[in-house]
Amino acid sequence: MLLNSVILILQETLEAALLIGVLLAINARMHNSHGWLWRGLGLGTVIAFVTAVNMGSISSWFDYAGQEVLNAVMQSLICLLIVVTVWLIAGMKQLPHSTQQARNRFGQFCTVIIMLAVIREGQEIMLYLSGFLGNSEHIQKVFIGSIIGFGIGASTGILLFYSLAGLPQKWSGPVTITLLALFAGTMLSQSVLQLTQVDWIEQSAPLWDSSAILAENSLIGELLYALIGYESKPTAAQVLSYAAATCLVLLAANRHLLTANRQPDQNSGEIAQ
Amino acid sequence: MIFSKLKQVLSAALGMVIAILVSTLATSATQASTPVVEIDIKDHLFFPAEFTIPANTKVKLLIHNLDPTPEEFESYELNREKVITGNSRAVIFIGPLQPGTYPFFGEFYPKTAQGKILVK
Amino acid sequence: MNSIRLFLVTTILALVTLFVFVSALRGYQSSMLQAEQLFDSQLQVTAKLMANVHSANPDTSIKLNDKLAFQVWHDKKLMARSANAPTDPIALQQPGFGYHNFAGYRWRTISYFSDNNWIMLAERSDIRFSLAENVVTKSLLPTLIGLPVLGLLIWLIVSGGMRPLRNLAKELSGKQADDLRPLSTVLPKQELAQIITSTNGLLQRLESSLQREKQFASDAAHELRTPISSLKIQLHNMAQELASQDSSVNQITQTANQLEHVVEQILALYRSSPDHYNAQFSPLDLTAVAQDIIAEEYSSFERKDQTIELQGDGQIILGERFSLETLIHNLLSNANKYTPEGGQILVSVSREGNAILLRVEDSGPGIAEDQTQRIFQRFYRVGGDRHQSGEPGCGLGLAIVKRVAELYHATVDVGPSVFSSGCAFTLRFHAPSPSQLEQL
Repeated sequence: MLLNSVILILQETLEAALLIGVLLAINARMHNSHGWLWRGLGLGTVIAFVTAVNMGSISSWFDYAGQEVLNAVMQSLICLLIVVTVWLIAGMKQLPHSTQQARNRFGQFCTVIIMLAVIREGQEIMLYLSGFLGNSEHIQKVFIGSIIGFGIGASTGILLFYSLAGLPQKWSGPVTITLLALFAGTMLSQSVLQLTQVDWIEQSAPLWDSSAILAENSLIGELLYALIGYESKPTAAQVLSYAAATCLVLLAANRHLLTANRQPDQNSGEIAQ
Repeated sequence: MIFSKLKQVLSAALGMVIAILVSTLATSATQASTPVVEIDIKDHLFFPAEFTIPANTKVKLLIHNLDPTPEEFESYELNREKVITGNSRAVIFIGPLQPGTYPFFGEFYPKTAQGKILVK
Repeated sequence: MNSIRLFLVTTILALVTLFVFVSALRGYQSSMLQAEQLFDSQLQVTAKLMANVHSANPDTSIKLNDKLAFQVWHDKKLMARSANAPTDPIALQQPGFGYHNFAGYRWRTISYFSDNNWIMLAERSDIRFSLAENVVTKSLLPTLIGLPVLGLLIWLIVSGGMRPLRNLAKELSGKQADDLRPLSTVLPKQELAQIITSTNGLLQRLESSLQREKQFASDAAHELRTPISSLKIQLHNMAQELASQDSSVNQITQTANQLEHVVEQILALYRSSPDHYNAQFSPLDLTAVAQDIIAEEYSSFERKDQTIELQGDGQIILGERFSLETLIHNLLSNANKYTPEGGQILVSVSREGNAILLRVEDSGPGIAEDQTQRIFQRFYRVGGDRHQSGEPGCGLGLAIVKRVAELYHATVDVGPSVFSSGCAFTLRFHAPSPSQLEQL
């Protein structure tokens, strides 16, 4: 029970912790307040609780596809918000001198992203723990396992944050944007997988099978899954959506290339002004 | 303006979502012929814990969780993961699959809730 | 997010947590694996034992404890079984271990072939897992409990390590604007020594440049005295020669007097340095000094038809006569200037605990709240260029009062007076202790 709790809590915590780490690193370079983190966590926890309590009826929506559809919608939204956030960041001429308005908007986007991530991860943790509440035999081990899993996940997030924050100016921008792009890819390909599971999207044969080289349930596999959405047997639809979302974020990060031709004078910094 | 850009991005995303929904309607028509396998979860065990399905065919798994506690059907080999709350049922589509053995387990009680699908 | 202490504590704690937890998990996994192997070998021994002792007694259902079940098969025929075993085979007819679900549980099974019989023994998988896990979990608990303690220790150590830095910050932020004494450099930490040395160098340069500024002002004022005196004499002679009440001569004389006053005040302001002064302190009766000054200045009060009163008995403070006279003189002339004709002025000396108070109150227009800090600045006058009193002045009087108060380590406050309008200046001197008086 203990190891199982560790793995389950770690899976859920790690993804949120890494996302928070990356967003906080950008936030720190903006010299912005991090009130959005607590707002996102708080809102997310409350909504996750409501969702977990009602998971039974949510699951029965859309002919028992409710859970997957809800997850897919939230994952697509996270992906979309990451694109919009990166677009916003790319519009700021220099992060440390961004305007208060741009910072506030960044905070609002982050609040929603964190909230959605916490709803997704939180409701599964809550459902898992709820099954053991009355179980005196397992509760202690589940509790210890949860602490270990949470500890590893949160520690990894903290270390990622300080590594990104400690990167030289030249590197921190590209690295954080790349991580966000890969994360957006993960989210969209995950939402495709969710819809495949309920047959809303046709299942196709996996493009490759790398489970022999790196199993998804190994420690490294879990870390890579959370960080860049590693899958050992992805389908074509997953790979495509992953690539599409990643490219979209990278395009948004280079918005001056998109707008330079048509609006030579307003190419960047519209929000920042 | 930023908002016209935003609109472009949003409409692109919306287009994707609509495409997905259309493909849904197209596929849902074929569901009638999909074979169904019913699985029960009782005392954190799968019944049946082992069953055979035909190769290269889409199969609908209808899972009843008869326990009061939630369970999560998970399989790395099938790439499936779904929470099933206590005393409720869930639907998961798998396949078409290559012949072989595909283990699955209940992630909340993995020591006991284990099973495998034989694809022939 | 920008704190060094937070950075050190969180990164160290995160790294420790990561290493400790991951190694604890490794330990858990290998312990569980060993326990599993131990249980398996036990199961095997039991199966062999059963093969050797089993009696061909096909009908009996032997009741074992809950966690074990067995079957004996002769080909497809069930020869014997425990009460909790089903009649279907619980394992495959091939030697080795396996898992099988029956009777609502998951079981670890072993098949053992002996004397043409298959001995199939099953052990409750959940129970043996629980047993093993209980033991292993107990070994993990100290790590888990120890971690918060470790976190607290890391916090304390980092805080302790950063104390010199915090002390330095505190010393710097606690410094008065005009306190240019070097920072205390009692055995600074290697990392801070450079900062302290640089800061002290900076303070020293600042102090010497300020010193030069003072020196310049005082020298210039001193040099101006002689020409002003001769100017006044010549003006006096000129007035005699013209022998008329020429108003322009009067005006020039007045301007010359004002110029002389400014120069005197600048000299008074810069004449003193604290170290120089404290050495000359002697016991003085504050009331007596005040009385002398009032007598000296009485004519100016009389001219404006003002009443002035002195209250209080003899209060001894440690001081130096000239500076104290300058202080009281400036306060009185301030009151005289800003109190309208026929107004009242009250000077009082009293003791309040360990402090000796000198209060000068007037029935003038008073000073607005937002002006109270600025009136002590050099060359500041209420109302600025549009100053309304019509009194000559240069705005140095109260700056000098403050300067002298600093020399005495006394405080100056401005508040409402006892009269219906006006303000009260309160100077709070330290009352000398008996031992201080004895020494002198």
